Amino acid sequence: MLPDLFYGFSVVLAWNNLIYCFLGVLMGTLVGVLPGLGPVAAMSLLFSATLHIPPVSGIIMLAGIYYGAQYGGSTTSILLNLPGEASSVVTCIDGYQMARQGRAGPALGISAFGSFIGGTISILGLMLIAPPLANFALRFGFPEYFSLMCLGLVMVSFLARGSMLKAMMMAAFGLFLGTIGMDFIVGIPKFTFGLNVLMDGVGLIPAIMGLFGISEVMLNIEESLHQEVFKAKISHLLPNLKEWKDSIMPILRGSFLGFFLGILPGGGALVSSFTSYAVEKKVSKYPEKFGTGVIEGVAGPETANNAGAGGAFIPLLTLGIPSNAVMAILLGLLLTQGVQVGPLLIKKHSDIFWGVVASMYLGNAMLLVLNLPLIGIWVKILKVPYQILFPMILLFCVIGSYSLNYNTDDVLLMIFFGVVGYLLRKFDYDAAPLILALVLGPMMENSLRQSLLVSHGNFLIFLTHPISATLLAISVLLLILPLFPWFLTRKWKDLKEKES
Amino acid sequence: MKKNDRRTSLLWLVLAILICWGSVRLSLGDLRHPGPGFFSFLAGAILGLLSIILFWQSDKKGPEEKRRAFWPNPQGARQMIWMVIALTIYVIGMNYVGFFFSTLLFLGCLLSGIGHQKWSIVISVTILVAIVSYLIFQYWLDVQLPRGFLGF
Repeated sequence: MLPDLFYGFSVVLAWNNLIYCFLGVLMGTLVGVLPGLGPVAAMSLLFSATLHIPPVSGIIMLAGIYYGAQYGGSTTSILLNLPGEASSVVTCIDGYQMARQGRAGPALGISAFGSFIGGTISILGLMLIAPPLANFALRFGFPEYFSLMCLGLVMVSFLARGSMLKAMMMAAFGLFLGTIGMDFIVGIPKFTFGLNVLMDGVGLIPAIMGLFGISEVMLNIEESLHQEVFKAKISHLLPNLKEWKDSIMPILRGSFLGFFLGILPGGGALVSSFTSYAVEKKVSKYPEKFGTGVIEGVAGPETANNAGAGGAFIPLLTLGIPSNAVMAILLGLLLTQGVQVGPLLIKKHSDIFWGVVASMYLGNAMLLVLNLPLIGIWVKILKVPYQILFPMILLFCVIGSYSLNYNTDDVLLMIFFGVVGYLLRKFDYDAAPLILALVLGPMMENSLRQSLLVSHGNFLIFLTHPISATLLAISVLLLILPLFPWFLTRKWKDLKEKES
Repeated sequence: MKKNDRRTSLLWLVLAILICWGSVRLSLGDLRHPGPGFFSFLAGAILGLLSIILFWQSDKKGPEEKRRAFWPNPQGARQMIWMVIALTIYVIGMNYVGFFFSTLLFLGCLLSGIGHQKWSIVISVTILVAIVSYLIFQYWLDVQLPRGFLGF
């Protein structure tokens, strides 16, 4: 493993990859700081630029944006009570209160250090777990892949914000969208309605930019947000001994919790940060103080979201299956560049795997250096009114979509998805399962049809293969689990009625 | 929200029926040789089933919900609609007028009409952003942006 890691460092220390790593983490921090433009939209904007550079450089830069955004998101959460991106929502609760008490510096400082430690631990986990998992995954055939992707979609729905039922509806709709385009076996167009832009299927990047980028701008304009930047001077960024003493256990817990939750489909930074906050409140001797400005409420979630970002790479790099929308973009990049994803990626493209691992070490170190001294600059950027920022966000979305195929039809498709995304949010539907299903849909269809071809139409193939059967059993368990509280409440009510 | 869920579940059900119908027309094949419409039919069927469950859930009596306007800020909603219209016109117009001039017009309209910025800011930001983005994307990132009648 160490020789592989040294090889990875030799890849990332090439001057061009160093620059891409730095650009990625810098842009990621900027994106995390600026509300209204999350890492998903930012990565999709730069996706087309990465097509002109080697795949290892492209994935290093895009990966840098992802974990860089986790660092940046904490700045607006703490200073503005406005999360820069979704996984920093929880940091607002105690981080902003700390800022109001004149403790913005320690909040920002512990957030940066916690993110660094969480990121480092998750990289170690990635190094240790990914290669043996990839070896295990060599046993996977079409039935196993189909069942794994089913589990992935069920888990995304289980972990999604809001109603699980609505999340599953989004997943089903996404599966349908994934079937649009030319059929890969028969060669006929499916649901294209004669539109050339749909012949190759629904474009992932226009869909993501529309659902997340354009819809976000639409919502922000509708709600006419006004932001007030915290005006107090930020000082003492280095936490003192007591702050370290209070934070060290939340940081360690956040690292391991975030990493393992990040591996789960639908996991990643967002679920990790929320769960960490809940755990810290549960184990604290003073849970009633959470929400009033306790440092544990910042240290745990900020560590967990970075650790989760690292863990989320594992399904992509070992199985070739993205666990969230961010990983879906990276998968898109690898496939477009002709890289064979799956369990053989580590063996056949060791420069990509170990290059990314090594770049994450370097990137985390760069982020620690960037975030602490440059807080003042990030605060100045926050002062740019949203009324000036949003036209530029729209402009970058337009150029990003256009540059995929040099076709304005892709941009019109993005606008369509923007309107769809806006309506989905107004009616409380989470778009994340839709995106994951859009990516997994064609792979699932292929796996299902191949499995049925092999088994001569016998669906039992998914149950006779032990790994597939186990994965499907877990999926079914997750599907019926939400019914149990309802069932138990109902039984209890019936009992109470009988007693009276 | 329950009222919204009832309405949206019916819309999803209609969509699911259309998906299934379209899939049957593509041919479902059989289990040994699934046809091109097989997987989309499954997706449509699942969507339809879930929308029926959502309708049933939203139809059950529950606690009284506070009525929430779809657009609590009508002025903001109008601005949002104008933004989408402007964006669409910008994209279509780009093919005729070229990226640079259409971007100038687009940014100018948004900054003044929706952003309500002073004219000095509108003009300076519009020109600066249009020039910088043109240089970055056309020359540095090698993106072939649409050219208008003036060649850029």
